[in-house]
Amino acid sequence: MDKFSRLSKGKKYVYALKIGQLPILSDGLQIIKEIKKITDINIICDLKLADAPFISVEIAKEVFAVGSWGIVVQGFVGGQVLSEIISTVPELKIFLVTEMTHDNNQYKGLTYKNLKKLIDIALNYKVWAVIAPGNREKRIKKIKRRLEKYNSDVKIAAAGIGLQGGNAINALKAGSDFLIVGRDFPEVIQDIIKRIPKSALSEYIKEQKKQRVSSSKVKKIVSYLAIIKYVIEIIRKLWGY
Amino acid sequence: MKYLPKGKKGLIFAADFVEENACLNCINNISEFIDAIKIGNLLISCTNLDIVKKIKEICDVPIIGDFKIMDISYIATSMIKKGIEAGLDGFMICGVCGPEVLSNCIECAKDKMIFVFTEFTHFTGLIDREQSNLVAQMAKDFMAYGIQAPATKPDRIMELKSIVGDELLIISCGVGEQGVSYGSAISYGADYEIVGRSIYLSTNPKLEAQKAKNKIYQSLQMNIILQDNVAIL
Repeated sequence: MDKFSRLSKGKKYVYALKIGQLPILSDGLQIIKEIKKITDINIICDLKLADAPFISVEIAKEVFAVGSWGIVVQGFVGGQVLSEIISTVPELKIFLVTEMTHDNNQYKGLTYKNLKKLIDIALNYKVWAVIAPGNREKRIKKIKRRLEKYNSDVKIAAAGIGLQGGNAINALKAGSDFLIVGRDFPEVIQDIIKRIPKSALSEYIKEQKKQRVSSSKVKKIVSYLAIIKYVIEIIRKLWGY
Repeated sequence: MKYLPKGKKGLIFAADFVEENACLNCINNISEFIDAIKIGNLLISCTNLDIVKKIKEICDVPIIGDFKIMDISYIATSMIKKGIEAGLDGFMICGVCGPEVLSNCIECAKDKMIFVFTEFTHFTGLIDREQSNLVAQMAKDFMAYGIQAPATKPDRIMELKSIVGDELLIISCGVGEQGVSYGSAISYGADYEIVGRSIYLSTNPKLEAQKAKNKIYQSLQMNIILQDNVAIL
């Protein structure tokens, strides 16, 4: 559990922590309970829910019972599953996967072809966010345009940043509200830092000093998370969205 | 190494429990009537993969991990490796994850059974007939062990059977509580029926499992008689 304890120090910088199927296979949902003991970071349980309504609802109930804030649901399960989850555990924030990062027309587009339908489902059921492929900015833009058309507050979380080819800044510029970063977290952050003006970074360091938080005193990951939050704000100012 | 035999018909128990003891007690009770056990995200979420070894101690049938694997290759294959370490004999992969993930999973699983999920039992899912058929063809091309087909849609079982033929097993979900009678999916071309709730929610799971197994055999006998009659005509 040490690997999670450092996250508690960074909770003010992190919006949410996504826990996937791999740790759950080893530890069950207990792992979420354990993380909750250490920190009150929002936890999104990512089982890529893709089951029939009865089982999906049973899983969602268990996921909520251990203290999860959100749940990832595969969009292709359709509206009925969403509807039943929402009516049973309305407090649970739904992250709807629109399409997979690896899936495109080259791979016959099995999740690619339903994008419009899926955005409409996200709108109809007022999910909290959709998970979009961060490595395909055109698709993020398409989702953003449709969400804006209906003045929706459904957010866009971009997956596949880094190793899968997604560029953090481009994904944000295309309209993402959040970046989902895992395996290559340090590399992604370094790539972002390279692309922002030095003056902006100096400003960040000054602010850190004002708050008397020396970067040497915080764990590496916390610094990264602080930077990413700050960088997103800078990018928004620079590109004006 | 355990396999679900090809050329036979039978019953797979879907162990969708939220409590370990209830799961083990029920399996212990019905073990003589089941040919395999399917464990999914619900049971694993409420326990962990250690449950596989505990089940194997009381029931000597193949165990399929139905985590509806629907992720990028890196995560999908990592899940399979974990499952193999835990003692699982087979895995369910969502076909819509595409050929890249499926081929990587089959390669990673080596001698374990890979079943490919084609489409949902409920009617509001977004996987359409065309996609589902494509998935079945893909499963055949990559030589998966079998596919999962919805018992709630008999026409789909028949069409999917026409694609995969006898080379791939068809395991069929949605039997029992979702309104499909025991033996129905077999009569339309499935090889094994997956039954969960109607057994474990029954007041007498053993009797219910026996009933399901008997109905499956009756359906099989009926099919043989019908085929013989058609041949005579």
